[in-house]
Amino acid sequence: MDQILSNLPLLIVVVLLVGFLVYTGFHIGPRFLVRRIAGLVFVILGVSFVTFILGYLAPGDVVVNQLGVHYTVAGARALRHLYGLDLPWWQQYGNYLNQLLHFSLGRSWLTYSQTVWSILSQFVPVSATLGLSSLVLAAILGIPLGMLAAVRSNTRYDTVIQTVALAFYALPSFVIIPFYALAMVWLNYQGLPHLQVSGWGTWDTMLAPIVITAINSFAGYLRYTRTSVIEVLRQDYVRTARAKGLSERVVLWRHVFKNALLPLITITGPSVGFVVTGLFITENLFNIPGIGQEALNAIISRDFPVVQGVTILLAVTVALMNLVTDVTYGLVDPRIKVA
Amino acid sequence: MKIEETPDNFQALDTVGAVGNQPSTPEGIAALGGTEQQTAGVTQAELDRRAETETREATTEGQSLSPLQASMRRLGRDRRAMFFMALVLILIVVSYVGPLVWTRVGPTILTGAAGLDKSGPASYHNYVFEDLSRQNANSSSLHPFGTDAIGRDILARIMAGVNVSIEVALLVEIMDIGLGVTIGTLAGYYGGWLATFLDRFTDLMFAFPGLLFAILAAATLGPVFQSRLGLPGRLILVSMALGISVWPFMARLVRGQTLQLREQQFIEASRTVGSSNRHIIMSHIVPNLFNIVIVAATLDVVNTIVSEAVISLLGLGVQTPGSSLGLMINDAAAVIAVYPWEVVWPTAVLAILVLAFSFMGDGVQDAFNPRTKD
Amino acid sequence: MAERLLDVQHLQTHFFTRGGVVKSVEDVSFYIDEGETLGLVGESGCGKSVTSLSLMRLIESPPGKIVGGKVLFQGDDIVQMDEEELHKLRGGKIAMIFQDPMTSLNPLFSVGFQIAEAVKTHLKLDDRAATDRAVQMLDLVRIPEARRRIDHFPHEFSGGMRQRVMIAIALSCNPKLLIADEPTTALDVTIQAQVLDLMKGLAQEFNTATLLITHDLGVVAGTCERVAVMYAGRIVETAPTRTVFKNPAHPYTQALLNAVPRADTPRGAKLAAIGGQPPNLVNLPKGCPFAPRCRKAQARCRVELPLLETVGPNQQVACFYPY
Ligand SMILES: Nc1ncnc2c1ncn2[C@@H]1O[C@H](COP(=O)(O)OP(=O)(O)OP(=O)(O)O)[C@@H](O)[C@H]1O
Ligand SMILES: [Mg+2]
Repeated sequence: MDQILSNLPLLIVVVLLVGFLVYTGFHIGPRFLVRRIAGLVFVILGVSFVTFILGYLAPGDVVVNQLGVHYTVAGARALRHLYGLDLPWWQQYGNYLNQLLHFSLGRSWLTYSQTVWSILSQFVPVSATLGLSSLVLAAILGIPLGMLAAVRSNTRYDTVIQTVALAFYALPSFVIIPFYALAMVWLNYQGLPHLQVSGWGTWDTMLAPIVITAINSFAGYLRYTRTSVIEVLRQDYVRTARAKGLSERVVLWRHVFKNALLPLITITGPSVGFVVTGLFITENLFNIPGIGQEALNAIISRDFPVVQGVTILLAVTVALMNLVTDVTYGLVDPRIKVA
Repeated sequence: MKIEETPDNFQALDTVGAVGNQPSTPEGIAALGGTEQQTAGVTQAELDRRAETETREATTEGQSLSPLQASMRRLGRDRRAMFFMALVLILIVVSYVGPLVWTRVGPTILTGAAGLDKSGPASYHNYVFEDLSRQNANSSSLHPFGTDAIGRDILARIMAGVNVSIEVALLVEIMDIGLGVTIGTLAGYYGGWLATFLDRFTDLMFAFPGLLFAILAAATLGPVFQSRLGLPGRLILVSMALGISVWPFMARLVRGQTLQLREQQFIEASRTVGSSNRHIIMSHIVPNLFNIVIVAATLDVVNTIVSEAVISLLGLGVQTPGSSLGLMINDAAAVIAVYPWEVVWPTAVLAILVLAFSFMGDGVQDAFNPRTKD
Repeated sequence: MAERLLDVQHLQTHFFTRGGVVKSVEDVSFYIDEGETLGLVGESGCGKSVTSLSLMRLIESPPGKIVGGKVLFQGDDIVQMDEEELHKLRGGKIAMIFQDPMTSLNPLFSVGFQIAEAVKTHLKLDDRAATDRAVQMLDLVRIPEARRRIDHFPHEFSGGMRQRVMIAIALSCNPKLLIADEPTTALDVTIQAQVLDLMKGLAQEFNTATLLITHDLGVVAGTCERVAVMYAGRIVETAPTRTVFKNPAHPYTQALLNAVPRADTPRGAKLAAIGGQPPNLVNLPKGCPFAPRCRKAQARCRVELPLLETVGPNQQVACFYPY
């Protein structure tokens, strides 16, 4: 708890989030909110349990690995006791849940002096910057282009956008990165200006990962917007709006766009999941010190408290995003206002 | 609120009686439309819509076809989809037949670190064979795509890698369709605890990105599976992990469709005739799921291929000497500036594979057009 | 002859689909005078909606296109108008009400906003005046507590009330012509009469001419001064309402009338259905399109197309063997 309080940006985010949820909770109906928060608790339980069981079943002995040449029976027993590994599995998991109740994620096994919180708070800002920038980039490029494609649907123009979007949607970033890297190597070799192919922190390292991570979601937004707008364009109320003599611009931006936006809101939740998995690849290939990279290291070195922390953090982020999008949906759509 | 158009309403209006405000009676509509079908309880708007789609179908298709035939015909007409479908087939055939041919083509040469071992193509065109005298070799007639860091033929390894992609996709699809359709149909038809379970499970999978779960499972349980089942063990594990994370979405789709179907008249009719639930599900619901399942499955293949590659790319999937496109990219990524072909070929093939499947899936989706995407 | 309010001459609207050219409207001519109510009747799919949308140039294009004819409104040809003129026309001089009130209003905006929007566009009123106008219109269409209800959203209204909101939107800018495309078909029967009466009353009050499209000859009898009967994209008969009911000239009109239950039809008596199917609008038969279903068809009907000809006072029919 005090970790949250001592971290100002995090505190602001939490306060804003809670404020938003409480406000809309009254707006939409407290029962809805209660049900969704219960769902969130369930998700945390589920995710932490799955992760725990996977760790528990994993072969090899962490303690033996860690001690290496310093292995002694007594030392191993002491370490096992420290990690709580000498308890039966249900007690281990119970202890973990108990920690969670106190907003603690425990300590890293690899560097016992550090809490999982402090490790995460080191890596989260990098990943959050990368993930959020690419999500925003994807949305601000994808949505207008999708609308354009929809308005011009079934023209050659639309066909081209559609084809490119489908290719972008399908191509994973790790297929693009090698070609990007080759291009940069070549530019470097020619003595031409170029961007970096690894690292993080300066604009010439950040640009490429952000753009490349954005590509899939960009295409997703584009395609989804197009479908959604086309669907709305054939609604009767659009005909009504035209029959009123509104200009095509007003019809599109007022009547079509707002309605088409509704389903778009709902994909923002899942697209966060999309971006999160994308981070694993981008961070790995660009050597970016983010949460994906850290998770991978933790998985490989069997630092299970950190792995647990990462999965719970990601799951909660995605679940919260889903909740926020659902609630936003309720704000935009008057039909959702239930008692 | 909508009052059903029952004969009683009309009788009530008959007594009101003025010619001025006669409602359109079902008989009236039937008379106007020239159809004799039973129309009570169906709204006018619905009737219009049906008539309209009927005329459109008839005018655009020339003659009436079964929905499946119509979809197949549409798919056949879609040139882009057919092209990519052919490409997919070619890739699959080449990746399986190719190695049989490839290991028979080529002269006998000297291989090995000292260049003293005599080997035929059966060795050096095998994807595990290491020719230490030809490491990181650029393209040649012997190795058209070059060799990797330990002198293995890249073409052979790519073909083996495509096999892995296809096999994982196949295993995952079997799980996806098997579990998704079974549980989705049952949850849709019976509701109850199964539906609740499905909801909760999907919520969980929504928050726990499937790829992350698969990565975690591959990392923690990989060694166990490998020691029990040998090299394919990893492959099976990855498939299982991916399968577990995709089926809930398929099930949700299927459940939605089942719920809709359940409300339809022919099923109602079947029930009143006394058909068993089992009969209704097997002969009325499952066949009608075909469209939605085929589309979802085709699109899932893309995700599966990509996910397998990612897991191997992170070093957690298929292990050397086995081959996988992701693993090849991973192995050579560090030397991309020096030996670019070692990365470029597998990457390009993966890109083609993924694109071919997506464009094919897009065509399938258009043709089978279930506008009930989740 | 005084200038007609609306004079449609040989209008043709086709849809260019993959399966061929759908000739939804093929040579339609009729007129409406100021303040007059014309009923346009015909069975489903004969092109009534396409005709009405063509008048407003609201045909979805592609695939649709007006390929011939004129639509003279106060002497100006709508078919030739540019976008700007159309925006002034739509909602301002010609307003439209659609069949399904459940889907015709935008679910995300309050009804007050949706009325005020039209008013602001055409009457150039400011926000407050537009809102007042919206309240006034809701009052006129007899929605209780109009001042409060303008902030409500469409889903908070019943079907009948929504159609009344649509009427309010349509009439809010004092149009010269109101096109109502089956305005009551989607409503339940007890509401239909109310909405029709309201529409008719208000149209009179505003001196707005009405084109009332319907399946239902019963509705026509109580509401319209003249009737145009449409079949397979053509007008086959037009005459004053009274004449149509007393002395229908076209066999199709006669068949339609026989299919309508009347107050004097004995309960339980069978209504005469028109046998056969309406023709496919892609491949129209040579000759009279109704010939295949016509009881009186002769050899000539199958080879030659009858055109509209005057047969009585104000009565025109496209048939070689009328009455
Ligand atoms: N967008 C379109 N594309 C192709 N054909 C169309 C299109 N819109 C309408 N049609 C065709 O035009 C014909 C006339 O349709 P229209 O909607 O005008 O009929 P209607 O007389 O209004 O019938 P209803 O009483 O059912 O409303 C129909 O055969 C229909 O199939
Ligand atoms: Mg119509």
